[in-house]
Amino acid sequence: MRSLVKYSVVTAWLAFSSGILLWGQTINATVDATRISMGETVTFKIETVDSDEMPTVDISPILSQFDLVSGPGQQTNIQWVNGRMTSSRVLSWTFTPKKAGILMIPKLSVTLGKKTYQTTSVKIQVAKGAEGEEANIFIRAELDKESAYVGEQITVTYKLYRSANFSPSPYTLPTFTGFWSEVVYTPRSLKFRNVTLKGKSFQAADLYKVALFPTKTGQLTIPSLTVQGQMEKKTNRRARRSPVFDPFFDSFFTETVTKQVRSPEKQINIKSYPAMKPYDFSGAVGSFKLSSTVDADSVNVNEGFTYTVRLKGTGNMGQFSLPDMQFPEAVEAFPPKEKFKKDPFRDALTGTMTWEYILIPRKAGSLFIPRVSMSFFDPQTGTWDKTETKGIDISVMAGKESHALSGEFTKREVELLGKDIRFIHNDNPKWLPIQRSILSRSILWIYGFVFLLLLMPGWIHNATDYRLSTESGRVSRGAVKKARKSLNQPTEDPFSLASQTLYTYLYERLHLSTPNLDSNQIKETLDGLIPEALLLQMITLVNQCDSGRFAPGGEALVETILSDTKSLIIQLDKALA
Amino acid sequence: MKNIILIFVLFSSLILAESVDQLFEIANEAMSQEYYREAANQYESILHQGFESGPLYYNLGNAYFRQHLYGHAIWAYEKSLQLRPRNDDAIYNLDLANARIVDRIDAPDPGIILTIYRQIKNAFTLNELVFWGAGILLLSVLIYGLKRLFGFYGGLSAKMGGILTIMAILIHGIALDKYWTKSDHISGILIANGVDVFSGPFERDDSILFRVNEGTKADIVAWEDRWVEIILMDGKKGWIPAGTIRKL
Repeated sequence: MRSLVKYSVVTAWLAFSSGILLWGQTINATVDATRISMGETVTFKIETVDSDEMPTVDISPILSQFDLVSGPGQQTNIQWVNGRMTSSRVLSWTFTPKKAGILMIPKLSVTLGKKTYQTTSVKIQVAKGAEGEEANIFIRAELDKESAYVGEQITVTYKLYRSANFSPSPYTLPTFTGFWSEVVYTPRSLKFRNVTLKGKSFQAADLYKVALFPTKTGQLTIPSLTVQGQMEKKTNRRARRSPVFDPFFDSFFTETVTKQVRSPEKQINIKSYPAMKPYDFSGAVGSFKLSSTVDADSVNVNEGFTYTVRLKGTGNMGQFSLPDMQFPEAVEAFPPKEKFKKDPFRDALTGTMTWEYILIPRKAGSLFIPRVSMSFFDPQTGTWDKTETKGIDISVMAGKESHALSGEFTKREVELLGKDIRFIHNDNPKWLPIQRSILSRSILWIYGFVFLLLLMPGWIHNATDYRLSTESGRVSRGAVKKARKSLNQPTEDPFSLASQTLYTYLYERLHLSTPNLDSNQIKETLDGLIPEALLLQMITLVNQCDSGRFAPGGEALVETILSDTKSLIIQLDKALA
Repeated sequence: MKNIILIFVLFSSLILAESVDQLFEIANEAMSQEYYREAANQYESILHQGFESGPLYYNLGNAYFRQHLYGHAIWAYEKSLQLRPRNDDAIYNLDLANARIVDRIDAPDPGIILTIYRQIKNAFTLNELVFWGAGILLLSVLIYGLKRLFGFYGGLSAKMGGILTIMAILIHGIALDKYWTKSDHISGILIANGVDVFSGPFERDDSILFRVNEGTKADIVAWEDRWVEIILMDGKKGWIPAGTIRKL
């Protein structure tokens, strides 16, 4: 009961005149405390009774003096009292003050349905509380120097000190205006160690370590880091000792409170550089050393080699550029490959930057790569300094006539180096979809035709049948032509040629089984097919051929036998037709 | 209803075609005003829409060449030559781009016959080869048919038929070889400079085998999530990050 009493004492109930009983609707706006100290929270509630919907409120006027810790939270309660139902809907926010003094929660307009209500303003007294080192929990921003030059590194460490049980929720780094920032250290989990400050023991942990590089001169502000967390607060239950409320159970009776801790802002003076700024200064502040190497002392024409420039040192690495490299005409240079290797075990930004150029000499002879130099400002001594590499001499051989210059193609390539590409094609092309079949459809048509021609069975069959059926006719028709042709060729033995031609003619013309004939067979075959006189004449001719020039009067026949045979065959063909 | 859908499809494809043409014209205009990066982006967006053509790749190659991105340029010219293998300008520009790259890798000399064969193979697209092969085959089948039908025996027609048949078989053989090469070999062009080639798909300093540069052509053996195994023309093999090579 005691806690309830305490609650009602602390709580200020503020009923609002405008919100009282309108068709049974009431609106109450309340805060749970009007006196708080810095870092503590205040809960602001808007409660409506017997309304059907949640009220809508614009809380932005509050945020000018308070930070929102959480909210809005929504809650709906329904109660039955003596058979009558009461419902209430609550919106709540938790705020923490931005500064000490008397702050106001201003008038807010609350919209419920179509009606708008006004709340009254509430005064909240914020005590300074235990600030800084006197407090139980505080954050300090520790700087490694009081003033710096533009571009000089300032290391800021945000440290959390606690003597009460406080566990911070995740926090975010503030934005640094006027600085280029690089996080040096973010802990995965906070590591606390014991320290003593002004006789009071604390646990301290690093929240963040940031390297800041100022980008302008003047008074710059290191912003504050805000961390929210849960703080355990013991309740005063211990007074009620009883067997049930044993000290052993004490831990159950602690309550956690949301608390916001904020580090104070800090000022730092940023100085400008002394006079006599070198002409090639590009913003490097720190201490640096340039060096350069090549991976070969002598190379062949058209053979590439690597030229490496290294910048080693401490300072604002990555915020300045090397002067442009000037390579001789006879060398073709490719854009460099840039690398930065950070030295991870140091607070000051330290590391090595590397630029790797691939160079290809296109002419034989001595090649000189000029030195590279860079001016920088050394904040330790407050003076200007300069670092430079040595020039490098490389001898370029004409080459062992290796593949570089031997083949025709490479010679052509060397020729091509000075030339420009040909211009673009402007006419609108035929667009092909990228996802298309490998072969176009027209080709399939051609294959279709091929197969049609090859496999059209009826067509081929008909053609073949016709040829076969007319073959003998064609042969017998061709027989006389062939015989005449054969008789015209020159020969030593006209008798045998004449008889052979005659036999072949008969064989082809009459479809005989064999061309080997004699006069008796001829008589048998042709009997009745041709006139008697022609048959007789033919037998005589065959006999003349058989006996040849040894027949009586054979010598005389040599001249006439071929023409006789020819006229006989013509007559025969006419007779057989 | 069907008709309406058909008209709609036709219409939308017309709109699409027009916008691709417009993109191409815009990009060409950017090229002539020397906004090479913008031009390249426009050309790439046409590819992104799923369309390609010989002139598109050729112009894209020029856009990359002007930005000194020789790897990308070589990739684009090679793509252009895949579609138009006998285009003089693309061959010339590809030679120019190849002359500017760092790596000189010589493939082992394959001998005269193989070189000539490869030149023939590369001078035609697969479609052209199959088209001519099929055409000649059609011609020889026609001659065969005429021979059977009208009895042209021996002489010129027989020789013609024989020659045509052999030609058809040869061309089909080349086409088949080209098809196999295309489906089995995936090659790519390196698009980054100073790429370390590792012995396996992991990045460790002691596993660097050698280094390749932009514009080098390589065969792709395996393509994993973030790593690609490549073989160079001279037979060297290793793994590189997937973003450093562009598939042809």
